[in-house]
Parts: sequence; C-alpha cells; structure tokens
Amino acid sequence: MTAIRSTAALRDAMGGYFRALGEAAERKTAPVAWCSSVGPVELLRALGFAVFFPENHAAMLGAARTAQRYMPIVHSQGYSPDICSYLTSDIGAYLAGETPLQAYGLPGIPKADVLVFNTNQCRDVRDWFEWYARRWNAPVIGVRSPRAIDDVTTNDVDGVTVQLEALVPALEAIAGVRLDAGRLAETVATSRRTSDLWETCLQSASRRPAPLNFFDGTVHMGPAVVMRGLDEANGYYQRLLAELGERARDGVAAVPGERYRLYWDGMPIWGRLRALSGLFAEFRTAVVASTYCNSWIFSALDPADPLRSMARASLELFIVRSEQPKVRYIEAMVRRYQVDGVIFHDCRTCPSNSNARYGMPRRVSEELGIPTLVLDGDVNDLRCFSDEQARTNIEGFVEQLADVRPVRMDAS
Amino acid sequence: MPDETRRIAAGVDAGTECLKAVIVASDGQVLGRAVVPARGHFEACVHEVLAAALDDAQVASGDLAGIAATGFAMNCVASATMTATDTLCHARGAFHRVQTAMTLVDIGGRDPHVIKVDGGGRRVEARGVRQCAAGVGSFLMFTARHLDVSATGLQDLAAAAVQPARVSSYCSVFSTTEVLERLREGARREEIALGAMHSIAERIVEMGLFEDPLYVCGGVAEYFPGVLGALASLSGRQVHTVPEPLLTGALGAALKLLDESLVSGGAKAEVRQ
Amino acid sequence: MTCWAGIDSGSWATKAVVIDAEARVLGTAVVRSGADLSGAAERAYLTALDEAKRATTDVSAVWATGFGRQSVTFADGSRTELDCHGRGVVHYVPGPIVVVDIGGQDAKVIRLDDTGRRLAHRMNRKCAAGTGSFLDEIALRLGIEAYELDRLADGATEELELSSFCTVFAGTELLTLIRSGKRPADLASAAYRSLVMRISAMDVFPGRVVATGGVVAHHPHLVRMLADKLRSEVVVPPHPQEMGAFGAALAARDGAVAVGPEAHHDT
Repeated sequence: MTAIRSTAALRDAMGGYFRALGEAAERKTAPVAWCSSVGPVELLRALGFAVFFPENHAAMLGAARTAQRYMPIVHSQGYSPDICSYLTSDIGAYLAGETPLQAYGLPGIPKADVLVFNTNQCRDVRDWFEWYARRWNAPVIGVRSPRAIDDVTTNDVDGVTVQLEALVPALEAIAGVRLDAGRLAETVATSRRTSDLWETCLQSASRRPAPLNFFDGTVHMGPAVVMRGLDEANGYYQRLLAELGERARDGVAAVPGERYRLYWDGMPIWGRLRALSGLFAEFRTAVVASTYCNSWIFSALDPADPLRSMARASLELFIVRSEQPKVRYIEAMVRRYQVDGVIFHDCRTCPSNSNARYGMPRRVSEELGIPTLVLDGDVNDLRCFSDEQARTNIEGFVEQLADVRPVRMDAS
Repeated sequence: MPDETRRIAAGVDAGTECLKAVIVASDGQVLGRAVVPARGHFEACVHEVLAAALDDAQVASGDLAGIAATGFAMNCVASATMTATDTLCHARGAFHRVQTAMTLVDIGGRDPHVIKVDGGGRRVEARGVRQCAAGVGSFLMFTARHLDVSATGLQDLAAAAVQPARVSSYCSVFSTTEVLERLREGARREEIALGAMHSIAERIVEMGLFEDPLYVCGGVAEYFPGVLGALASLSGRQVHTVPEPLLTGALGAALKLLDESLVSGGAKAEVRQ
Repeated sequence: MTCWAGIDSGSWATKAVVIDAEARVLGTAVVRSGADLSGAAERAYLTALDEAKRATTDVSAVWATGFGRQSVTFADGSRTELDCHGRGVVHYVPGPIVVVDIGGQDAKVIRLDDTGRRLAHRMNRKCAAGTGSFLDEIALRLGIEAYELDRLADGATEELELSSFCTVFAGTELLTLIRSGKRPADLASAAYRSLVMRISAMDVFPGRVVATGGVVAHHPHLVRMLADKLRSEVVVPPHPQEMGAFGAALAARDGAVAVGPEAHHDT
C-alpha cells in the first residue's frame, strides 16, 4: 500500500490549528467558542472566535482507544452507556484531566466562552455542551433544527435563518465586536472553497482503482471539519488534490489489487480503523465512498447570502433528511462510485447516524439490486463491537460478491 | 445445662450459583456452615444446605430461634421465619466481621452490588450493575469450562499470568465470544483467565460509589480472588476481603433475625429497606 | 484414491469430513475444540481420514471454515461458515432455500437462490448470541446433560415464555421460573421456544427452510418448534452438524475463490 505523502502536511496543518487554539485560550488573544461539527462556524470565525470542535476531540480519543478508559467514569456518574459515546469519552477525558491536545502543547481542552450547537444531528451534542456550561458557567446557545426533512423548503430555511440571526447579538456581546458583513461573506466564501476542494478529493475515488478510500478519508477530512473558513484548509486540500491526481494518473491504488468496491454508511469505528482498513485490504476490497466523509460537503454555501445559505447547507445534509431522500442519495453514490455493495454500520450509541434500524438496508438492496450488510458496532465504545463477528460478516459478504462476479487471483 | 440467653438462628442465602447456610449464636459465634450448588429445584437445595449446616453445627432444628432467608430464591426457603434483601444482609454480615463503615462490593453469580455501609452496619445506599453486565460470576464459570479447568482452577491459572488478555465487553455474552477469540489468537490460558477477572473488575468500577475502606464479599471473592487484585489496580484503592466472603449474606440474614427477635419476639417478619 | 477434506473449526466442536469426487461422505469426525484449535483440527482431520480409510497423501485439497478457520494451518483455502453451510446444503436440497445454522455461539440465516447462490445472510444481533451455550447453561441449571433436554421437552404440558432476547436476561428469567417451582419439562420447552423466537425474528423465511448445525443435530424438538413457528417445513439434511465441514470439502473439490488472507499465498 503506497502511503499518501500529504499526511505530513496534514499533521502540520492540524498542529497549527490546535496550537493557535491553545494560544487563544491561554493568552486570551481571542474568545473561544465550542461548535458542534456542522454548527455555524462561519459566523463564529467572522466574529473573531477561535473555534473548538469537541466531536473532533472525541474522535481522537476513540482512535487512540483511550476512550475505553474515559467512558466508564461518566457512566458511573449516571450517564447511560446507551447514549452518545463521544459525549461520555470526552467528558470522561476531562474528568481524568487528560487530552491528546497535550501533544500540541495545550495544557487541556480550551475553556469555552460560549458553546454553540445545532441540533440538526442529534440532541446529545446539546446535552454534552450543557455539561461544560454548568461546569464553567458559560452560555450555551444554538439552532434547534427541524429533522427528517423530505425536500428542504423555504419555510425550513427561513426558520433556521431566523435562529442564526438571533445568535448574532449574543455572540457579538461575548466577542466584544460587531459583525462585519464583508468578513462574514469572505468566511463563507473560504468555507465553500474548502467544501468544493474536499468534494473533489473524495470524488477522485470514483476512478478504478480508487486512489483513496474511506479510511484515508476519515484521516484527511480533519481540516474540512475543524478549519472551515480558514485559508490554511484550502492550502492543504490543493496539495492533497494534486497528489490524488498523480495517484490516479499513475494507477496508485488505496487498496492494491482492488477487486470489489463498497460504500460505507454510518459512523467510523475509530478504535478499529486500522484493523478494518487492513481487513478490507486483505480482501482486496476498497471502501470507496461514505456518507460520513461526504457530510462535510456544504455546496449550498453562498457568499452572496451568507446566513441563509448557511441555514440551507445545514438542512441539506444527509443526517437531517427523511428516509426517501437518504435512499436516493445512497443510490446516487452507488452509481457515481460504481460500488458492488453497501455496508451499514449500526452504531450502538448513535441512532442519528445509524440507518439500518428502519429497514433501509433491505430496501436499498431491493431497489438498487445490490447486496447490503449491517455491521454492529460503535463509534467509540469498542465494547459494542465484536472483531470476530465483524470479520465473519465482512468476509462472508466479500465471498458473496466473489460468487456473483468471480475475479480470479491472477486477474489482479 | 443450656444457656437460656444464648439463642441460635440459621441464615440461608439462596443464590443463583450456590446456596449457603450458617448457624449463628446470639453472641455472634458461627457454629456451622454449608454450601451446595444450585441445581434443579431450589426447595431441594434449601433442604440439603440447611441439613448440612445443622449437622456441621451439631444443632437440632428444634433449637433454632428461627431461620432467615435471603438471596435470589429466598422465597423458596419454606421454613424461613424471616426474609431480608441481599444488600441488607450483606451489609449486616460484613459489618459483623469488620466493625467499620465501608464501601462493600458483593460479587456473586449474577448481580453484583456496591453497598455503602454506615458505622452502625446499616445499608445507606446500594447500586446494582447495569442489566447488560449481569451474570458476571456465571461468566467466570463459563470461561473455566472453555479453558478445560474446574471453576476454582481458573484462579490458579490467573495467578500464573503476568498480563491479562483483553476482554472488554460489558455484556457477559459478548465477553464469552471475546474469550474464544483470544484463545484462537493463541493467548495463553493464564492470560485469558486473568483477562476474564479484569473484565469483571471493570464492570464493578463502572458502578461508582467507591470510598475507602473498600471491602469485598460474595462467591467471586471466595473463589476468584484474582478479581480483587484487578479491582485494586483499576480503582487505585486498597481492597480488603470480608472473612469467609461466601457466607456474608447468610451470616447477615441470621444476625438480622437475632437483632429483630430481640425486639419483636421472633414473629415472622419481612425486612426490606 | 483421490479425496477432499473440509474442517469446520467451531467455538465448541471441530468437525472434519472427507469426500470423494461424487461428494460421497467417506469419513467424518467431531472433536472438542478446547484451547488448542489447530491441534483439534488436526485430530479431527486424522480421525475422519482414518474412518475414510485414506491417507493424507490421498487428499488433493483441504479447506477450512468456521470460527477458527485461520487456525487450521494445514488448510489450502478457507471460506466462512456462511458460505460452507449454504454450499453443503444445496448439494442435498435444491434452492431457493433459507438455511438456518444454529451453532454454539451464534445463529445464522442464509438465503440462497434457485441456483444455490447466496443472496444475503444475517447473523444474530450480538445481544441474542450464545444459542448453543444457552441450552448448555439451562441443562446445567437443571442438573442434566444438554442432550437430555430434548427428551425432557417432549413431556412439556405448560407453555412458559422467556421474553428477553438477551441471553443473559433470558437466563435470569429461567432462574425465576425454576424458583417458582415450574416443571423441568416445561422449562426445557421454554428454553427451546426462546431460541425459536429469536431465530424467527432474524429474517423472513419464504419457502423451504433447511436447518443445520450441532444444536439442530442434537435437539430435534427445537426443529419441530421452529417448523411450527415458521409455519413451514423445516428440512434437516444428512449430517447437519458436519454440514459446514462438508461444504468446506466441496469448496476444496470445486476450487472456490478464496477471499481470505491465504489468497495472498497463492499469488
């Protein structure tokens, strides 16, 4: 497997972001806002906030598997093991006084001056923020979003736009500055550019063999998650895009000898990313696209109409939609990336990102005529994941693909 | 000539894995003990364990001031003159042995509990394990079966291990699959035995409520002391064992009866808290 | 005389089957898996060969399946038990069929089309795992051997329900029933009913159902209850317990495409 060279630049970019965040929090050079993963980050950046994304932090705990130590601390305080394991990992780490950000010189996670949520993904993120708000006596504000939307209507967009507008005075008071319309438009433009670049990077996987896969995507999405609205994110993605272009041109595959192509719906299983990546590679099967990595594409962002377009972008996301648009979306991805099957990760503690629970895998299988597989697991809580069961399920699934479309060893 | 003021009671703890009986005198002396495995109908096991304890104590059933029952199948103790819940009896029995306020952890066949006991031997708070993590003692017995050792042989295996194998599921069913996976990966039997004990200690620590001094009782403490070492390392606290940990519930039940009968004259009573 | 072998390395038992070119079974063996899976595989293999009156030099290929398929170091290839159970069954029963495999640690439902090709599979939710071991636990509680449950259940008169899908909870429910003095025959029957409920909820079962696995081989009462529940015929093919090993032997004979890591050795 040829490693993606840009990974070094990715580390630099993320390191720079975390250090700047730490500096803002320590030296009070800028107010600190916490923001849910698809919250109104452009608005916060335009007001000069340094922005921290706790979901990204929780994913780091999951990937490092330290989450396994932290979650029980919070469970013993009356938070159920059935709720979001991001929440319990992150609060547990805080109570243990540990964070992977120490590697970037931060003494701890940056203390929030304000916590800003959008409930378009779930309620848990708000509960999570409120825990810290009680601890620090900091305000929690945000957007209470409609969910399970069919087609996004003007009414839906209006409703969220009004809420975004209402956040402005509160955020101005905390930041101590007035919102500059020009700066907001610029930030939205930068953010849109990030989104477009990221989308192009992901679409490179529509090539055979795919130059990057889902597991690469979960690593390289970092800047699209935490640096939206910053020029550094775009610098990074231009570089990555150039490399992916080279890989495509030279036929460098994310999975050498790629025989089968899959789509992944649902959360990553952070603590088993490497193991699963190796397992799929063993079966010469590339997971070429995912709902998860695509969730940081915000094509509606428009500098000509910043807040309204932010509202629309937050509503068009897969997670906010009803079953029919979700199935249509997966269908489009199946065609674009020419996949042989779809894996649905049923994430035990994240119902919002689990689409296997209302019969969708079977409908997708029947409507699109391709096999589907449901994997039980969790984003961070590895106690809900069985290596054995996953292996047999995945291997059995690939056997099934092999029997439908046999590719002999020597063909690769 | 018998001492008229010295009264004798029997305590029966009818648990899911085994039934325990003790014969106790009002001065606190334990006169007889017996343990039988829970197999088939509980009534027959109750009969067997009581008879064995009376025999061990050389006491006739007619000399008993009463029989107190506790545990999962306490209502199957037909001859009981009193019943009391597990946590209450464990608190009473442990306090009798160690005479201090404590955090008491009872780890038996199915439902572990963390119990706060005050300076008077009373239970002030109790927490059960999350339902999904039930069956911890039975899980150890299963592990032993797969490692081809007797249940008690598991402890000898664990004692010889340096590193525990990873068994991290909170569900005993999932943990079982993990044990098999570790076996297949070629983990040593010793490591798996210790890993199973670590897994139980993790479930216990998750329940919270820990304060010093920390005492442990119940069948797991008796047969699988490796769990206690794991508990100490995970909780960062010193872990003490209540003497004769398996019998704590039965002892507490008998003592409860003697406490009560001082007040009420031995009428059939049900103690709940 | 050329022959082929299949090894099914299960969590509890290891099965081996030796077949000839017409897929006739020449020898079988079932041994306890224990803590040494590769040792158990070798013992099962040699025992089956012995019964088949063949030497290892007669075997043109051995394939492995099951939980410990990676531990069968002498195997020439492997396929999952999802594949091998289906493959073995369609040799006896033409598709379309639904295969229900009930093993020691889990249950699987495998749907095959009219050509015997696999359409989909379901494994039980982790929460409902532990199928065979669930019966073992119940036998232990009743103080009998697991194989005695079947005869015991024939004498059931009362329909008791264990409502939990979680094996641990169902175990607690069973203890509660024992505590309330229920008859062992009714308890055995309740344990079977609980398994049948879980299996029937795993998938839809259109058409013919074929049951395989060690639990099926030793618990015909369970098969009858499953047929009642599904309102369909449930066929038990020959040697249900060795079906996975038989399917692996067929894969060896037919030279199936291996997708697992051993595939890399070939290239």
